[in-house]
Amino acid sequence: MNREEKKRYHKLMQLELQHRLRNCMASVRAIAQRTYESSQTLDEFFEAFDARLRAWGLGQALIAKSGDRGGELVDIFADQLQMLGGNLQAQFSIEGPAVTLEEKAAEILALAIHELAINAIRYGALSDDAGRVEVRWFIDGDDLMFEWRERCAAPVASSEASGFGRELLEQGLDYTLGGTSTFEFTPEGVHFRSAIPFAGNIKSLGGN
Amino acid sequence: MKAKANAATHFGYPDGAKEATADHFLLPVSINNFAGYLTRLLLIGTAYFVLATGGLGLATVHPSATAIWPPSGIALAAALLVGLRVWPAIFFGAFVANLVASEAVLASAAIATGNTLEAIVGAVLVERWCGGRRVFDTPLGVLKFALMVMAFAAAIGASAGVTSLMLFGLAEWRLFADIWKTWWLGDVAGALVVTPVIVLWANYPRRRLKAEALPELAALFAAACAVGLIAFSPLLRPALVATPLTFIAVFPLLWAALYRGPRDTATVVLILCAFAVWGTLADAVPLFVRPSRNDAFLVLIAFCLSVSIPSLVLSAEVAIRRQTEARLRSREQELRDIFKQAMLGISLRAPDGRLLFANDAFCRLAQRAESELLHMPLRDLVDPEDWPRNLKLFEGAVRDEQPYDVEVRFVRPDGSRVWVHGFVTPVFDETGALRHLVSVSQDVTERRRAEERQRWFMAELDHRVRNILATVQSMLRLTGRRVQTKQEYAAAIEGRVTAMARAHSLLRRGQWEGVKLEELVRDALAAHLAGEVETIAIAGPECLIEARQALDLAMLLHELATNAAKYGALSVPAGRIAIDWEQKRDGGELRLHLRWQEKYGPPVTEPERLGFGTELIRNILEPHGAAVTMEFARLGVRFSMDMPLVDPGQRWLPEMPLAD
Amino acid sequence: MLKLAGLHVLIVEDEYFIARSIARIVEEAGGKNVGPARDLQAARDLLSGSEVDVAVLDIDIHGTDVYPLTSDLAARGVPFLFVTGYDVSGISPNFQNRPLVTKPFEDSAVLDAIVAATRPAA
Repeated sequence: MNREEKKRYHKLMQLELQHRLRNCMASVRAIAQRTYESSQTLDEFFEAFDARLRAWGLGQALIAKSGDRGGELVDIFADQLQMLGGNLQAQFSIEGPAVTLEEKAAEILALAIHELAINAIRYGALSDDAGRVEVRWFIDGDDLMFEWRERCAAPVASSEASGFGRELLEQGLDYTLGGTSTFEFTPEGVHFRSAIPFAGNIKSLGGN
Repeated sequence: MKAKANAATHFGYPDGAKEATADHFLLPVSINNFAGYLTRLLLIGTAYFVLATGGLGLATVHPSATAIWPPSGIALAAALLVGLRVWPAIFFGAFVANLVASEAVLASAAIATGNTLEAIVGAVLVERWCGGRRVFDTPLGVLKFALMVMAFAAAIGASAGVTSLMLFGLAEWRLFADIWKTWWLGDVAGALVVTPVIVLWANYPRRRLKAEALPELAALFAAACAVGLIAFSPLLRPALVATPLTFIAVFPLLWAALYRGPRDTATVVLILCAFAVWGTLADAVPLFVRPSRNDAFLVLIAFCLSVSIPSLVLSAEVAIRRQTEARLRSREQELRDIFKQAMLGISLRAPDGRLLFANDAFCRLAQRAESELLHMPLRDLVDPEDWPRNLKLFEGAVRDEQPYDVEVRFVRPDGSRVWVHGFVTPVFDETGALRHLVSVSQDVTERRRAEERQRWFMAELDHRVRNILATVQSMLRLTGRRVQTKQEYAAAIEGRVTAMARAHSLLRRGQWEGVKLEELVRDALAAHLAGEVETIAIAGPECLIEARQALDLAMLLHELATNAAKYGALSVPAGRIAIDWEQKRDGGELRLHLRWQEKYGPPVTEPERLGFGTELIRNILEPHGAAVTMEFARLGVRFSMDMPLVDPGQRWLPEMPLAD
Repeated sequence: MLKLAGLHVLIVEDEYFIARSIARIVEEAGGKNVGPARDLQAARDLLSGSEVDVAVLDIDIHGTDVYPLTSDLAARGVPFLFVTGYDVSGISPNFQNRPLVTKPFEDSAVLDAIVAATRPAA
């Protein structure tokens, strides 16, 4: 590369870097705004936003760790559950082939899993030690089918998940990933399903 | 029946050898070329008859048995070249010739049958086991041919012929052995002297007959004739009558065999044998003089055979060698060309690391001429830092007998480095010892730099994202009692994030090399000013702040400004802020001393001011080793900071990805 | 006075929350949302199926540039503006004169840019 090309390359890299960072900041702000809208008190806002920010940060860290800005689905689960403390993993049964997600998909799934987990802790299967959550995913044609099914020991009242969480799960995921999701309450807890198209979301099958 | 492939057929015939093999049907294949077929038969038959008559004219032991029998050669050649369907020509040629000589119809027919069988069987055997018409191209072929002729063809012919004579009462049984011997030798000699010439000329009519080669050929044949004249002919006999000069036949034969190939050798053999026959007939060859003419002929035949077989064998061998050599040479040249032209660097080195071969591309990699590189140990080429790694891989490869990949830097004569990726294959000899190493090398400097840049980019991205996160999180954590509502909270966060974004913009405008402190200050206050220039007094020398420090200073100024806007000087029209700074050199270090003084603002109460601002300020500046003081004097807030400055010339971007 | 009263605004942005943020800004200012569209195809579908007065475009949509869409917009006479993380110098030179809002953005910045985009060309 000659001098001119180097300068141009340098400039392009800087622009790209800035672009991504700004989008990052915009995302954080947006999360703050939505959390603000769906919390009643300051403490609620603080708690929810703090948690979401950490969840988002974990997603970013996972993506950064891999050489090519992808994230494995199992790792996302591990990180998110660990962050919420206790020994939540013990109440989960997680099944699915190794799949590496693209950056955007990993980001939003990290948030989605966080929301599902928080909701389960507050109102669902994870609110006591007896409940279980069955998570599985498999490939169906051009889609990755994802399923979260709670099995509460005692029947739950269908209390609402948070506005932010619900919106993210029912609309945000589909918008970002281009798929279709359904979120429903059963007597046993939340049953969430999502069909995630491969295109643009899955980097590869199999681990890094 | 197809000609069995032998070594000769695998050789290319670059100058127009005939490739077709004769078919082996006893009858003509199609009616279309019947006329041509008949013509051929006629020609062959006529030639056979003429030579047969001539030969029979020289018959000595019995009118029908002669030692000089070229027809057998013609018959065999015809059967090999044209096909078994020439048998009518042979039969009738032999029949008529014998009839003329003996006037016995049945006997002549029987003899003719024998002659025909001889040719047919001979041809079949040669096709099957000696390579067909390529028989004279290999030494083994020649020997096998001789064997087939001697053991089968001629034996059949002689046996059939002599038995016919006996059966039809034309000869006495007690002479069977003598007559048979003569007949057999004559057929053998005819085949071995005449067939090669015909077949080889048919196969290679144009080989080495280009203008340049013609004089040599003419000289050779002239020499052969000369030798023939001197050694055998009666023309010079008077002077040299008792001297056997037969041996000088060796010279033209060797010349032909070593330098002209089988075809010309066979021709020389024919020429010499022809002269020998002439000489023998004229009793001019001392070596061949014998009490009986037949015995003389037998010695002559022996001479012909001992001249023809070795020469043909030698010439075939030499020809094969020549061809192999030529092919190897051209192959070597091809490989050499590939090697030289290859875009990738290819090199060969000895086990001790010395370079044995290097192609142009490799020389370009090393920026040295080939002459310089040869016998240079590889160690001298490779950057000392990379050598241990290379050595380790090399040892492993030799131990496991596996090729290996390695990326090292070559040091060029001018001291510059280039990254080279090498794929190295160790080659072992039969005893398992390392013979040499072949390596294919490629300049990967650009690729490595690209990878480096990519890594840097990712790292930067990651780093900065973490920064954002950390800042926002610390904002969250430093929740003060002062914040009353979530609106305030959310607004505060948004404000800070936006400040961060603006700071990034400033940096970009400064090409990421540094930002002027004055710009930072003005930018942080811009939102709060809206045109009131007198509110803020800024004073200080031009001071360039390095990128990372600039980002954090921007956050700091944002905090101070926000606080001023909420509780301090900027919350009332009368308020004033004075910001000044100076740079001091302390020991080897350059330090920035910044002061922010507010006045004429509302009265300050300390608890109120302990909003997130203060803690955040300390958190932001701590990593830079700054000493911070914040005083809440009654007049207004006074903030001062003392921070070591990082030289903005120290580029934020690592040198490696962009270095020349 | 609602700044965007009656204006049909097409939003093309692949990030959900940012798209919703812009949508809310538009609604609160009296405008009507068309979309948001998460990719060029969805944008084209919305463009052909609905009334659109102005388009708000994110520049990087799932790794592809949004620029090809501008020909569709120009063909329908729909003015547009950009909301992006890119600095102005990172935008294709053909479009550097368009109203630009950089992320993260203030509500007012978005509104002003939309108004500027719909103002008749001087």
